[in-house]
Amino acid sequence: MLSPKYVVPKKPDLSNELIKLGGEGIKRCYQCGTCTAICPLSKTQTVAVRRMIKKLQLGLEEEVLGDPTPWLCYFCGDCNETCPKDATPGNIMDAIRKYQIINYSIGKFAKVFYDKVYALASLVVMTIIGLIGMYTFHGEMVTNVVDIDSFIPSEILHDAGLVLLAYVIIVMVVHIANMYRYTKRAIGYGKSAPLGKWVSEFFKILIKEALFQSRLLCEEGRSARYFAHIGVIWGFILLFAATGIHFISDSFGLGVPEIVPRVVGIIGGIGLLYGGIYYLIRRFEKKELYAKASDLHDWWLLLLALGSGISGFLVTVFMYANMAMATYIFYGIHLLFVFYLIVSAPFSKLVHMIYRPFALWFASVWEGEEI
Amino acid sequence: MKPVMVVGGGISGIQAALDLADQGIKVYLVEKTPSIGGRMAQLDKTFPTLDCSSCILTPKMVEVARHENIEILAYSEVLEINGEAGNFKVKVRKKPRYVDVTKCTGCGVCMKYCPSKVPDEFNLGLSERKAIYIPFPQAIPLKATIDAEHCLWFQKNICRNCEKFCPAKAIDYEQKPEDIELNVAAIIFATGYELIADHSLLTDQYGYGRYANVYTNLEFERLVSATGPTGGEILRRSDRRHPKNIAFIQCVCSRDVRINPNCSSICCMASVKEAILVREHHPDIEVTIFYMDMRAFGKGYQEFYDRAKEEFGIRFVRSKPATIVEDPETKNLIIYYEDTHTSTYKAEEFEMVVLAVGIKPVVPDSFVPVGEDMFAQVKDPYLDPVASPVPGIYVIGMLNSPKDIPDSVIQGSAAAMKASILACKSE
Repeated sequence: MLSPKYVVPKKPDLSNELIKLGGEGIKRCYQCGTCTAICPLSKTQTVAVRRMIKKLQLGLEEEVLGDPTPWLCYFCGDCNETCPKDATPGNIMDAIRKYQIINYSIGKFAKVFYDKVYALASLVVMTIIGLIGMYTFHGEMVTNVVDIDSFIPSEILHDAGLVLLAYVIIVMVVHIANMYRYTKRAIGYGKSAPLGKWVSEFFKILIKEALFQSRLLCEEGRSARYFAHIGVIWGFILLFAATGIHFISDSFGLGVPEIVPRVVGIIGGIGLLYGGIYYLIRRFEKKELYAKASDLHDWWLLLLALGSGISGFLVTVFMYANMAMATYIFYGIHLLFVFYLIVSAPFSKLVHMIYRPFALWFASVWEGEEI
Repeated sequence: MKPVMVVGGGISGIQAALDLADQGIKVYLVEKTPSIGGRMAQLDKTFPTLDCSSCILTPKMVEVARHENIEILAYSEVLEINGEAGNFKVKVRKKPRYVDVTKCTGCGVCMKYCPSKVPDEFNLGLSERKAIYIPFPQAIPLKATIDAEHCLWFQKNICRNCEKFCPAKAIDYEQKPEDIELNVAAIIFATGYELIADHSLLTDQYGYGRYANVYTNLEFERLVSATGPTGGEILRRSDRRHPKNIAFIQCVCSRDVRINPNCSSICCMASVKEAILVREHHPDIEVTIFYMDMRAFGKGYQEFYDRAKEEFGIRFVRSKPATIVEDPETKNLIIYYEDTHTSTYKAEEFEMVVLAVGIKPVVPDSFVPVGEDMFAQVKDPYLDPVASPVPGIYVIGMLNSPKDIPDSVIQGSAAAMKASILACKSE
């Protein structure tokens, strides 16, 4: 429900902005409610798809920014199929997610990653920074044996990683604070929940939704997509874990055998590659409804995830093949891709990994939605 | 002065024929089916006055039959049109009825003894007729017709019961199609409409054809009609008992860009009327109408809609339901929808569902140009709204655009006037 507390400022041009972000059907919608009623999530919780589109038509910017509904959606496409006006509610949900990502970001900086020219420019800038960094800090390039550690010393890599981690955490704290602010005003106004509920809902969502994606599985006939997504998520988790193990072992001198993080990393890499390639094929096929209209933010994430995954694999392959130069080159490329991925993470599609659980969390705490 | 041809014997064509004939112009009224009357003959009541549809239509049909200037060519089709405005040569095929219409008295004995049963088109398949039949008791001309496709004599060379029992000896199995050529000054097409009842959306989303208790609005019109298969009793297809509640769903296969973007313009009031009839027949049946926009645009329509709400206690829910699921035991229907006024998702059980299915025109497309909207093109939508771009040809009624009975009658009169100008100028 629209919050009653103050006059909601209106932004007449809101729907046009969202149309530019891919929600091209907004103005066609005649509010019949088929989308809400056909949504498989509706059976268990309030998924106000139609109401969301109404808010866009009315230009209720604050209400749109504070509504967690779009994050409940995983774009099965049933609404697109049944919409009598071909208003593509699924794509509108996607556009709202982008709009929220942009508006939650510091100085709306995320805009950069939704514009082809700026995105390319940002790649160039990041490449230059990355190359300068690598050139400045690289060590000796031993060519008779593969010695990554002397090419780029792991202490430097760890320091760079810590800096990037700190960057991501600081930026994300600001972004989540923005999200909280908007959401509180729209759906949580005047509501308070006991700490216990916050905690219990947090763990419920973390385990059921973030780690096991239970909602994506609940739809029959969509298990292929489920496993691909699980592959990507656990790919990222395991790769992060591998890096963490390596770092902790090195920093505290625990002497964990090199093979442990490597195996964890390889398993994660396989998951990431499997999921990434699955989505790449689907997006090229354009058959599945969610993959029909891919735009920059979809390709960006795929490109960076697959780029890091594939280059990482090649590094491992060349290392075992004892091809020093190739290993170093691909190691450099790999580091660049990881650099792009991390720097753009709080602004790109990857951020749904954080926003979605938070949106579910806010919705379940304030609106009492059963997750 | 040359005659004028009217193609289609529904209310619009009837009005055009009468207005022309009253001016002293000879009219050929060509009708595809065995009887004139059209869709209006199938309706139980008319909105917004709840007049009995047959009671106001049949006097006009009788007037047509008795008019000295009107020649009814029932069970006939237009094959070919040549010539130009003021001088058309029209080839018409009179299909064989296998009954000598000069002898047949319409007594109906043949129908009693005919063993072959066929779904009755007039009742939209809700009942059965015989292979020799008179479509409905008030048919004009009131003559029997043999449906050769289902007649045992034509299919298997057996039976000949009708011939044996006909007291007038009117049966003639040897009849052949007869082609005649008529010279007319103008042609008025009033070929009417049919429901878009063959689209997969009906079956997939709303289960029409899969679930016994889902009806189209025309089927329901027959069901609620005193002359219908149940004599006006509202009985469920599955178990022949009264439903406790009925849901009407509006805009099915209309205002839907995937199928038909047009508004059919009649279903809002038709459903309101049918809902009122339900409450009049059985005041204990609860009626819900799922609508998106209630288009009560005509004279007396808004009042009619208000009466439905206030006087008859009909519930209106602003929503387009997403799906219907049948309970396999009770054959009740669960409608999934979002009440858009309260933004709540609901699953509600109904014992009968009536779909207000969109309409499409029956287009004689070899004779009149068709627009992008599926309906016949008109020369000028503002200043010449009944004229086809082809000079001397007029398109009226549902063929022209979606419209209700009063508008169809208006167009009938308008086209009659236009055609009479051509007829008077001709020699």
